[in-house]
Amino acid sequence: MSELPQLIVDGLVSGAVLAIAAVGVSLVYGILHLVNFAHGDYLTFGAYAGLGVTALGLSMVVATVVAVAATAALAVGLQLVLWGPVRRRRAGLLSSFITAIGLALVLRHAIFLVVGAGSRAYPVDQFSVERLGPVRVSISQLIAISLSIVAIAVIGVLLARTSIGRSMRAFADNPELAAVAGVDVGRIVLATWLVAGALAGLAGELQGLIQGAFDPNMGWNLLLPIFAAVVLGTIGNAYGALLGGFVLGLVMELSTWSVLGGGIPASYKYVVAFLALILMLLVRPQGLLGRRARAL
Amino acid sequence: MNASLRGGTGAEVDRTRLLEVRDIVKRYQGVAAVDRATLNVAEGSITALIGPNGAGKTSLFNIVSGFARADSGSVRYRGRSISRLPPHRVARAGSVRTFQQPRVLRRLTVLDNLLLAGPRQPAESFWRALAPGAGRRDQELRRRALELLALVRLDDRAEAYAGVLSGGQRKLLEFAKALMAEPLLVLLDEPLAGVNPTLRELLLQRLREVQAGGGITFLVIEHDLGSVLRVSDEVAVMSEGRVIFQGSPEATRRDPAVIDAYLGSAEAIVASGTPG
Amino acid sequence: MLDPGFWSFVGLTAGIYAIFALGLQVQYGLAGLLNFGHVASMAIAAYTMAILVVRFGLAEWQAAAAGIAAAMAAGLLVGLTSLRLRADYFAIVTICFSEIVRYVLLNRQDLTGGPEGTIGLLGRGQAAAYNTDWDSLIARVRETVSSVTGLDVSRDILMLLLIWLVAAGLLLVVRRASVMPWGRVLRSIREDEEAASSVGKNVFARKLQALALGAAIAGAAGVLYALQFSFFTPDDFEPLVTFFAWVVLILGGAARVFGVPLGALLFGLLFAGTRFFDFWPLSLLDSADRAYLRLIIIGLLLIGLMYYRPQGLLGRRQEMLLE
Repeated sequence: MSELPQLIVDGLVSGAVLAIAAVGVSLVYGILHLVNFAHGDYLTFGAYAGLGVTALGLSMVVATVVAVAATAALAVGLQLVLWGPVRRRRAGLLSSFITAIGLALVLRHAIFLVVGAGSRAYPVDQFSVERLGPVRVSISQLIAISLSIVAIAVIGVLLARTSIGRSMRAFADNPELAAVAGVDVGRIVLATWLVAGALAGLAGELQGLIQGAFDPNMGWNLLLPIFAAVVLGTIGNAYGALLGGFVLGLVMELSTWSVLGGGIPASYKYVVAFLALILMLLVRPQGLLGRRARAL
Repeated sequence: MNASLRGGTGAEVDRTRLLEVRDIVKRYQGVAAVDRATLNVAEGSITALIGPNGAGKTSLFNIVSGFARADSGSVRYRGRSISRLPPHRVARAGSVRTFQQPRVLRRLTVLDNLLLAGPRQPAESFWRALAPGAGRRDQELRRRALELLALVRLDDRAEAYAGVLSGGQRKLLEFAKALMAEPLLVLLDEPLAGVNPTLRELLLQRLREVQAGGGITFLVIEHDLGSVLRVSDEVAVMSEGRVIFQGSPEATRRDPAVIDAYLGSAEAIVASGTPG
Repeated sequence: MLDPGFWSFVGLTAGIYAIFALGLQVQYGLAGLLNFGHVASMAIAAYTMAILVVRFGLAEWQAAAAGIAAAMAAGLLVGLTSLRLRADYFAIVTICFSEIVRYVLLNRQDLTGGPEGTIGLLGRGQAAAYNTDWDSLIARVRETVSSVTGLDVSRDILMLLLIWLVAAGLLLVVRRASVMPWGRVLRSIREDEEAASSVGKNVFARKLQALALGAAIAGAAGVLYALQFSFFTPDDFEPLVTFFAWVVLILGGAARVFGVPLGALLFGLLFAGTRFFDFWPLSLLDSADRAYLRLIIIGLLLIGLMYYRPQGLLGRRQEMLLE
């Protein structure tokens, strides 16, 4: 009976990708009050940036560095040319929603226009599998796990130990108070995009790896599960988003466990994720780590 | 339910107690905002609810108007418990509130703000709205709305968006809106705050006129003690979540517990003793 | 440019989107509900109709009515569970709901025909059709028209007339109700729910009604879509379609009922135009690339519109400033 440990490992791997992407979405929401519908396409951008590097014959290590750097640059650049001006116009909730959706359309189809609709894959042997006790792990999954551990450690240190990380969390928690305390808002915003973009780039590449073949719809398809992870872990709370990502990854994989009445077909994975999100919102709208809001 | 609340049964309704608040407790995160507050509002009166900031006045208003639910205690209106009614049911029963920060509907015209509050509008139902003659009730309401706007001197702004009104004008619009609902009881939350002295006098004068005109009872939270003691028949004083005193304005000025609660502003009370 | 096929495609697209977006207009423009899963109503109505006809042998008009009722019921279900949530959470729940619907349609192959669409409703090897009665009715109308007037009116033109007739009827109904006290109550809820309840309006019931009514209107759009195109797949109802409805609504100005047909026409032109235009320099691109370009243009348009004219083309700037 190696099914359960296998599902747990698979759940942790896909959860790690969700978690890394969700931290970025959550930080952006917490600090800019922006629900970034284009975030999935930031992931796609990162995946293709990495792919471009491997196409030049360079290693996955270089590809990862480039994916992270390029997506961070994209995120910061878009803040400068788009989100900054939009913010100065004091756009309402709907305006920023629609702007983000517009951006998502532009990014995704620009990528389509450049790389075409066909599926691509990283030059990693998809079929070589390591046995670790009862569990089979592919090379892609091993890379994804090790990079996730590094990334999560870096996020943890960044948020908990550095002054910019602490100000980011303080700002997300209570913008007025943080502003009074003399936090430089402009710097925080750029740092947030830098971090969110870098994480999106990494998550995009990892998703491309564990998925095997991917196309320009990859990030868009992952957007709602990422949102689900963010809300699950309390919107705006970076640690919560990490937790939410792993919980969601596990829930999605474990739902197929045959012991649970034969398991739910794997094609319903996302349905399970969305139902988990909706259930969470109805039962505990403040998320896993949230406090109940004070009434009126 | 609404009809019976409005109509009452007449005989057994105690006219001295239109609103009876008994031992209301409301805690927020363990801290009691309202702590066994008890209060009576006599029909036809203007009752002032005063007390220092944080005494629990607005929390009590939220409970009486159905916007918050008390942890314990009861609210009776016209002899019936309304503690569990949602806000719109409380309003339809004839107990209408205003808000400390006026909640006018900014992208509706001033006139529409009033028409909205008008009672008995069949065309608020989707199907009735499609029927011929659905606009007839609006014509009746419009007359009343324009009268009320004239009363608060906003008649020349009838067609403007309510969002362009000044803060003081918004307070007046809220007052008119509450009256438009044909209420029996109006709960005014700081109607004078942020209103300039001229409008202030106007509002106080209108308050008196409306009450003298009969039929409407007022419960008013106000910090401007001079004004409020001048127009009210009855005063209730809240401090630290409790009603520590209820009585006539004269008795209020003399009560040691009240003076104690208002230690810093004792002169304000004494000063307000001079008739206005 | 003068190709009649182009213009009837524009008109059909615009007409269906006008009805579809009118549902959103009731929900957002009047009641302020941020529904990002609007396409679910269309999908539920279209699939309910097709399944009831093909697999349960219902008459087409009965199945169409049942489809609209099903869309409305789904709207009520979403509303009852989620309307008390914050606006941004509500938006996320609705978009997730619409994706759940699409995934279920894709995966319950035994019921829906799966990814191959309605043609597979009876399983492999049998082509299923759900609108044979409708098509023969249209054919009879065409014969009658040509025998009386001698004009050969195409199927598309008849559908175009029907769709815009329905659109005009629904527009007038919604317009009428929205200038009546019914609309005033919804607008007051959009502005400030607590203020509305303080003057006796039942906010939850009103929002639920607006949601269900909008879903029923979208359901009607779904039925017409199904009748016009005779075939559809779950991927015809991806979230993009909801966003297109938002484009229509915003082009016209969300607070204006009559902005909807204008927005729909502009959107139809843009949508069909980028598909049909193949002159230079567009001729350098193949049709797939032109489709990408079209979506890039729509995306840029959304961004630009939100930046420069958030009140829409017909909206009043002043109303936006009062928000």
